[in-house]
Amino acid sequence: MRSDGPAHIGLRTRVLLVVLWVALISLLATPVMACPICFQVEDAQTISGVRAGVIVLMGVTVVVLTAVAAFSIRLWRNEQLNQPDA
Amino acid sequence: MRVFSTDHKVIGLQYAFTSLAFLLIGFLFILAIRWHLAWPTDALPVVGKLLGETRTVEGILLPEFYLQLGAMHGTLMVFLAIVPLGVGAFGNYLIPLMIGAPDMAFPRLNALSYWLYLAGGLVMMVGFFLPGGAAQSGWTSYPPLADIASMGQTAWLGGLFLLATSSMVGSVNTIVTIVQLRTPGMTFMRMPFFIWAQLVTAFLLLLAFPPLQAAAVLQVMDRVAGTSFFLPTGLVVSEQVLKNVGGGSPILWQHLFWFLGHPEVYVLILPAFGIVSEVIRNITRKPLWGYRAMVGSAVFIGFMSFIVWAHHMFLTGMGPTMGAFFQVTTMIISVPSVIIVTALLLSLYGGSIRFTVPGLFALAFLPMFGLGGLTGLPLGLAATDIPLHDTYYVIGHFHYLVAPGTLFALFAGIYYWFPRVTGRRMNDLLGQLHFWGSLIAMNGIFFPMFLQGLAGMNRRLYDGGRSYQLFDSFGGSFTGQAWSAVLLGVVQIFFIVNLFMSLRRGKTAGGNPWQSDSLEWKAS
Amino acid sequence: MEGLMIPYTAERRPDTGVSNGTLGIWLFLASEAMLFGALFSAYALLRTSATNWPVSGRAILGTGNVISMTLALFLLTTLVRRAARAASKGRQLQLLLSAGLALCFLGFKALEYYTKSAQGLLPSSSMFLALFYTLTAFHAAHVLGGLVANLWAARGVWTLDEAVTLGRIKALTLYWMFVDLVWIAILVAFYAL
Repeated sequence: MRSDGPAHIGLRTRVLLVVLWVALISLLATPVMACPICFQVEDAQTISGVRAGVIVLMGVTVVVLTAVAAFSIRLWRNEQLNQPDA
Repeated sequence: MRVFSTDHKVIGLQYAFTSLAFLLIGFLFILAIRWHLAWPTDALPVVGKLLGETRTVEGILLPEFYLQLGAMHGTLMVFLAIVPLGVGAFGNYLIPLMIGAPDMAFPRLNALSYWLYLAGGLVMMVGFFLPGGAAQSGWTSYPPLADIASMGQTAWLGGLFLLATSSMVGSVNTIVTIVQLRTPGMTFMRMPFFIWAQLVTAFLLLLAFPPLQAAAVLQVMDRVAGTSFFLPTGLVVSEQVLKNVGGGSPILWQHLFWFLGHPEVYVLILPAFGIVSEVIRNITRKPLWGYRAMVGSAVFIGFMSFIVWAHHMFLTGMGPTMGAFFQVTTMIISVPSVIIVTALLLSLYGGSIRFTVPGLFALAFLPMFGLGGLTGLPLGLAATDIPLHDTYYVIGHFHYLVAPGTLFALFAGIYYWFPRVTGRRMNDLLGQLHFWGSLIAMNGIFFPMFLQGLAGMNRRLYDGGRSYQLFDSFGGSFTGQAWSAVLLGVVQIFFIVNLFMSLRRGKTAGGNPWQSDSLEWKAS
Repeated sequence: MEGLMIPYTAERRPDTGVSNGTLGIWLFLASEAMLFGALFSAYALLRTSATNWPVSGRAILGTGNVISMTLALFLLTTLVRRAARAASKGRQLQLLLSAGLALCFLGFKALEYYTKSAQGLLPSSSMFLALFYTLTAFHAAHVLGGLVANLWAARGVWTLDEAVTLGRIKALTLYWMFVDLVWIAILVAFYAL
């Protein structure tokens, strides 16, 4: 019998789950048929500018949120070690 | 009780009274607008003749003042009333009590966050007394209009800078308090859901406000230092080309604004979920159903809310790829909210429900929030957003979430914890009148907005759409909405009277009048 | 504060592994990362969509003071780090010295702003300069804030608990390292790219 501890999902499984989730999000982003007025006027430089801005901001956000998540997981593990849930 | 107290209970009450005052002022603004839309040729009663000739002509609102009232209504409600009440008041007062801590982790920072909030609010309001009036480019302050607007806009930006700082300072305090000062034995999964809600909210405020703070400084520089962060080249204003160097992007503002703007709406709702969960737990006399699911959902909302913001920008021409990405993340984020509301609904099953006044507000929250949330789905899908964007449908959607949604939850919290704060109970009859009147009035104001929006009525129109032919299909609804707004105002009087009267002469409550098992009642 | 003792202000809480001060400074830095992230995102957007961007930022800005300013920053960060291991007197000296270096940095910056504006290089002159002035001003504001924090920490060295002072120095170290990081990003964005 294994002693109680945090849920036993192996590292590889966790990585796979994350990859699947990211893939799901990206694959679902297929282009939509719509009028160009609302949905992009060709490949203007402004569009690449907006993309660059969004990517940088989202990149910084993902990094910071990952750090938050990592610290939260560390707190969770510490707590499990010191005071296993009743 | 010192004015510059560092005691979390005093600061919580300072936040409470200040935010309720801003709530009332923000409501009076929109009351004037509702009146004007229904009767555009009649003078505003009582105050119409007193407002001066820059604001009204013969008591009728001028377009500039109409826009100021609209922009400041949104600003006051979102930034100065609801969030400070939900986070600053309820959070500061109750978090230490609920987790068994002596005070917040940084009491002096706590005081600082309140005074920064008050300062920020006052700076914004100063705009009304500047030439040209207060900010009038919407609470969203889109450039190029906001860049060239009158001085009041700069006051708005300055106030926002102070407010953002206040939020960030407060969030650091909340997070450190919850993580570090829990009483021994209170593990994370034993914390009340209220605390989880406040924790996630604090993270949202901490990380989402800085980009808007940066954007505010950039807009100030555009207005004052001649830069063109948000001004495109060759912009023509009043038949003259602007002298700024150009090359800027109004879309940049939208990105930075909505990067805060979307997490901000979760800041508006999460404390409400927290309060409703506490009240429902109490009135059903049993534990919550699905605590772990609710916690997981709240955390998931926290993370997800950072990657949905551009669903406010579907019509900016950003392209189908980006639109599709944000559409998918938006659809995904609707799921955890449903989980939380469903868990709360299921928590009622098998309970012995006492329909106390806070209980009524908390119960009404559930379907009202549900309606608001469901009406958001067509807005979150890019294709259906096309006809609905910037119409009254959007206004109806978010008001259902914030007014009979969050505000009902906050009222529930006030009636519920009033005895803990004062040792007295609020009057039950006045509370019932307040509840039923507000419920009916709010639906009377906001439900027609869905139909108006579907008919095509645009937001922020001074004449209410009268110059358009489609006005014929919804024009009649304005009168009903105006009277509903008046009714809403009248029943708030019951609440205000109840609040102040009960402070002095309410029935004494005893230590735990609702017989709650929660920690904050044990220390009274 | 009126005798109210807040636990774990300077000492680590066993089950979380951090003190209030440590957690607090990391959270603060996370929000500052978002602030500068947004500014650099604005830079990315505006530069990518710009029709005319200077080929060489260095040529416009001049590299004269950059080396001294960079040295001042790195030196003061090192001093603050070393203050953690020093004895009280050494600590106070190192904190004050680094505050002095921060003041030098600000002096260089002010001089740079003055000379540039005298030459007609203003924020309103071009998008490049607008971004340059804004980003460096935000950075300089943070240097100023750090300077004040250094002085506040130096003041408390004699009167406060060892643990509290150490906590403050650790927090300051992290803060200055962050400020250095932002400075490097600015150098890359405006002088290198």
